[in-house]
Amino acid sequence: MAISLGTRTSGPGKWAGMGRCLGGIILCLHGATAAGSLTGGFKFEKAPPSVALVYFVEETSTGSSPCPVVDQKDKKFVHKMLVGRSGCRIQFRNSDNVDHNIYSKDPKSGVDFDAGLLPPGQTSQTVMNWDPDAVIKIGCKIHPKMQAYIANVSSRYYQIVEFKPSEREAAFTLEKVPDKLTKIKIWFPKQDPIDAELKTGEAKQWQILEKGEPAGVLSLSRP
Amino acid sequence: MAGSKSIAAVFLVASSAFFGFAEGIGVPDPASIEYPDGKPPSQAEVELGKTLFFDNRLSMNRRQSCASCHNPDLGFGDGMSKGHGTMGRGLDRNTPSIYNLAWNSVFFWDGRASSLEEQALGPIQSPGEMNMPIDSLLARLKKVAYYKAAFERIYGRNGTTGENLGKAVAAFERTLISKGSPFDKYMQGDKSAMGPEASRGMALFQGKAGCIACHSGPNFTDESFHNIGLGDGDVGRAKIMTGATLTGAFKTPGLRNVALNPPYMHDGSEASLESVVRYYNKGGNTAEARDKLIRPLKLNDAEVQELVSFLGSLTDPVKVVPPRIPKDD
Repeated sequence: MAISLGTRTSGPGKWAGMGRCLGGIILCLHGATAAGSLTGGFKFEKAPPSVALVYFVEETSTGSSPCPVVDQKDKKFVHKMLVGRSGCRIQFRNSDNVDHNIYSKDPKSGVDFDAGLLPPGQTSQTVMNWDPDAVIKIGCKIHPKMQAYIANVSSRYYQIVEFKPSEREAAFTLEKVPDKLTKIKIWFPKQDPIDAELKTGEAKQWQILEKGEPAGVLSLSRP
Repeated sequence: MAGSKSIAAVFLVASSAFFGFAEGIGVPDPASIEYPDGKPPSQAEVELGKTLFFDNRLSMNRRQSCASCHNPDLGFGDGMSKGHGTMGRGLDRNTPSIYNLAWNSVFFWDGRASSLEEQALGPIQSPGEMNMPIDSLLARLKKVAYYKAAFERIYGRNGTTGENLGKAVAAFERTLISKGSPFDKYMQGDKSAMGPEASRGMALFQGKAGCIACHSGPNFTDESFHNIGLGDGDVGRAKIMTGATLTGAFKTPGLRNVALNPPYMHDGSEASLESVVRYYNKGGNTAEARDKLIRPLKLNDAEVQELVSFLGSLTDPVKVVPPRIPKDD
């Protein structure tokens, strides 16, 4: 089966007609045998998280996906979230003009790496060896405000949604999802993760919780 | 007027060319504060935090409050090279100012706290500082009717906890916002707010002197860690985290109201803003692992004074009236 590379798009123009201007969206589309789309919307009661990951659970994923390239520019990570799978070689690239030092330490997920000092223009890499289905936070030792996330997810059907701090709503569409996939996971940096199940023809809502308290609503539908 | 604008724009471009990306300096925007609960704290929580901030009960021997070292009359500093703890012991570093911490994401000179709430509890418990175990402090506070009632009203029954103590103090500290300085007025269009010397200093700050490479953004800090070459033997950030560039590195302090709280540097070794500028002008001391950004600036005496004048234009004192401290029941 041919698998296309992930593509990234963003900007309000793409989402015209879907309500309010809906924040930056990163979309990953994959060619697949069956066709169907998942449409979703987030609505937060307070400030939104920086990013969310939505993905379908694949019991036996046979494809491959590109390994993440973690790039840095203007004292920021270029992407707030990246997705790869176990065994993947994550590449760290410094496109900035100052030194960086990427690291991650999260004993719960079995991750502890230090990419070391990375001068401008340099690269280094590490193997994605932490627990499947786990999302880790990476940072820069020199610039603590720099934060991003890397997910170890074997699914080919996922979407990364980036939020603007000033906007509490965001929507997305994930296309060409096989009808047989019905289990969906949604991950946020601070809010509780959501395990959802949705078949074609259904539309449902889930409450988003933060430390057990209501923080917003997630709406999903599959035509 | 148009001329001033053009000059500022030219130096902004020049600074970008020399130092790469640096977040532009400007007026802080309270709408951009990321509150832990997604919204500003209630006035009651701020008032509770303010009362705690000024209350000597927070130290073991009841001799020090947060305000003893972060004295609002001394630019929320203590005027000394290095702080002193409640038991009389000298501390290792200069007391940092606490203006505009609402925008910060990393705290203390070495960045060992990642939230203002966490930071607020640190000095209280530190044996060298206020030397007060949180459990003992909570027991002390529960005996005061004002605190008992305030904690319960704000945080609910059994709300007198260490976590909520940190929340309250942090809520007050987030209100210490300075955004009405001559520099701010200048940036908002009042070109008479800063004199020509300070205006030239601002251009130097962003251009030839390169201060903006680290002192960037509306609060004049990149919130990052740099070894500025003092060579005083303090390992700084390296005590918290290993890393090739972290030995002797300290967090870039913000510069809001910097004229109000001498002495300067993490070791308090520079007595005046002029001596700070002259330190950077000579390219720092010769210290291992010194940041590449620290290099001779080749400023003449007039330019040194212009930079000092610009730093003075960041002054906008935050008036805080000390609260009435509740008595023991």
